[in-house]
Amino acid sequence: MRQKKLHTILAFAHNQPGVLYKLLSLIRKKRYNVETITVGHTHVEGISRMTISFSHGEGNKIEQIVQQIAKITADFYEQEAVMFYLLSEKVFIRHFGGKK
Amino acid sequence: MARHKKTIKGAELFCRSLVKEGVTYLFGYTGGAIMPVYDAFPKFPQLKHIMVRHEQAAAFAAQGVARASGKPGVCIATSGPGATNLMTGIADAHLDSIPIVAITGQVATSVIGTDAFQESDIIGMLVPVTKQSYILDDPYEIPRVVKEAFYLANTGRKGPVIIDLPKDIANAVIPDDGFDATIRYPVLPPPGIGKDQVAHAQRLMASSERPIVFVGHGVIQSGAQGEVRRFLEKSNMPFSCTLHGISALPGDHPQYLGMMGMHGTVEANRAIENADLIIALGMRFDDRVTGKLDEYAKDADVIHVEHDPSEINKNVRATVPIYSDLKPAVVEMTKVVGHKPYKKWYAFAAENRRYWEGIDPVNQGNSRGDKQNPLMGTVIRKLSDLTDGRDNVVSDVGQHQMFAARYYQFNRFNTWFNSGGLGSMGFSVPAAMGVKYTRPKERVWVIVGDGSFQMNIQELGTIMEQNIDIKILLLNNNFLGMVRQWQDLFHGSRFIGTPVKNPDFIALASAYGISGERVTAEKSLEPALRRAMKHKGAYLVEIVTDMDEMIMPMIPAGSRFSDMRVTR
Ligand SMILES: Cc1ncc(C[n+]2csc(CCOP(=O)(O)OP(=O)(O)O)c2C)c(N)n1
Repeated sequence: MRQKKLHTILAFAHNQPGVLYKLLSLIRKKRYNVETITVGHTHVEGISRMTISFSHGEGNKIEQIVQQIAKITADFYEQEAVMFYLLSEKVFIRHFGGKK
Repeated sequence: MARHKKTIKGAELFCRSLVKEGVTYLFGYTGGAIMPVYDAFPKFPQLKHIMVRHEQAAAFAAQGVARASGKPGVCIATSGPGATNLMTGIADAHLDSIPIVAITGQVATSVIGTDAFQESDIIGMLVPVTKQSYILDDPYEIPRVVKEAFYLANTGRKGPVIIDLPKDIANAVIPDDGFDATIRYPVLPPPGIGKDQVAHAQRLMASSERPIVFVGHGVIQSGAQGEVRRFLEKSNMPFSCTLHGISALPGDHPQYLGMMGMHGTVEANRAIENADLIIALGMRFDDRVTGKLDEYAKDADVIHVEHDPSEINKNVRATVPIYSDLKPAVVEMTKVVGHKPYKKWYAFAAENRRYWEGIDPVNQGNSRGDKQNPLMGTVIRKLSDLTDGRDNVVSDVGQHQMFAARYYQFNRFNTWFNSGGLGSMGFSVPAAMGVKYTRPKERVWVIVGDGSFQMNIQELGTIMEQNIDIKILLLNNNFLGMVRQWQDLFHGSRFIGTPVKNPDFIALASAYGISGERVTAEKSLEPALRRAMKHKGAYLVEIVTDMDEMIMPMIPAGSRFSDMRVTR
């Protein structure tokens, strides 16, 4: 069996129907396997926090899914600055600004 | 005295919001759940509804509007089967980054989720192929959702957005005030090109002896053709187009090497194989462009300018990844690029061009053996000559598409329309309707194969009813030609599921009141095309071609550029 690599993503998004579905749909489309998932509220009203870990065979394609998830969650952000990054390896950190 | 507040129906509010977005044409098909919206149309004469004969065609027609105008096209369908019939056109728009807004009726909110009559979870089905989706469960949200849908479809990387409208929301009557139409999630512009990146690009450009510039769909979509042209002419670098980059710049430009990729020109692909620098503008290194990734352009540094960061470093690693809109980045790069003659490099390209011209069947005289049927390439070249490369060309999917891309010389901006990413047969006829509505004074050609024609042939009904003046060039080889070519090359010439028993297309067109003629010999080709051009109204020219013709050159899927085949 191929060694599977585990990645953990922390994402913040608006607490609305369909957001989690969108993220999972992307992970499923790429045939990655969700290992654990936790979703809950944050101190900011209307913003949820999701921690998703998933595994897949090759390690080098991770950057793309991170960028794609960033695109999805970006649609839902309006708070002053929301961080989104990979916990397991620091591939990418990005801040989404608000309206200003 | 009682004060009567003005009220409005959800469906009317919806139509009024569409008018505010500047919508003129909606392509659609009615049914139970969407009826309230249709019922409101007469109050909004600015909205012109074109009834198609199948919802898939509505989505492609909306794409035709979007591709030709640069603004979102609109299609509308009822719930359940109406909505699912839109799906291919929406998935197609997603892969080609085409802004369309799809409106679907939905069952009433009280029964959603109960498998009600004609209920389908269309949002659930479309999540992977839409940019954003909305289900309207509050009539007060209508103005904002419509505004946001149009904004998102056409901002940043463009794409399809769907609005699902339950019937009770469309029927709701509410006071006509107090709406908040502020966009909640404005899209931030990309950061743009940095100083270090300009400097790095400058160093690579200064030392390059064999550069090539890639012109992608992004150049057309961002309207950066002027900036890109100035960059090219200042630097004197040769350029090649992706399938969707074609018509961004004139096809007769002296620095143009032709299309790249699987069926690209020998000169473009050999240049890519040997390049030391690739400057990729608004394109995504699709597998039809790269072939085998490990071996792709091994000696080249890559400067990749893209406004969607998830496309950078996806397939091809960029030496200088530039997350930016095209215009400002190209302007900065133009400032620092120098002019070089690239004498040897252009000589190499010219040599490859001569080589291909020497073996191109189109240059060999037309008949093979005793067959007199015109070659597809000959037909397209003739059309290109007669129209001076200035007409709109909407192609379907197959060999005819690749021949159109290669042999029509597009001399006018954004006049080439086809389904590239999804490669959906059935695209051309409905998409051409949308192009024609957008450019009513211009001539619009459909180039289509006998297989593809029959995938949306019912739209001849729409063409008849609406008097849509499109010229249909049907290249009939009585085969699913492109698949036949693969069977010929890779499956031991076992032609399974590809021969087509066809109807009498001319008689069929005439049943719809559309004139046409059949051409079987090359000498009748030009007069037939001229008649089509002169004819007022739709016209079908069916050209009978050889079933064993192949589109060459070809880099087989997943192969190296050095594996390019030039003959069968
Ligand atoms: C909806 C759909 N089904 C199947 C295919 C696979 N396919 C690609 S090209 C092709 C043949 C097209 O035949 P035709 O329209 O006659 O054009 P030709 O290649 O002969 O020019 C087929 C079946 C497709 N692209 N789209």
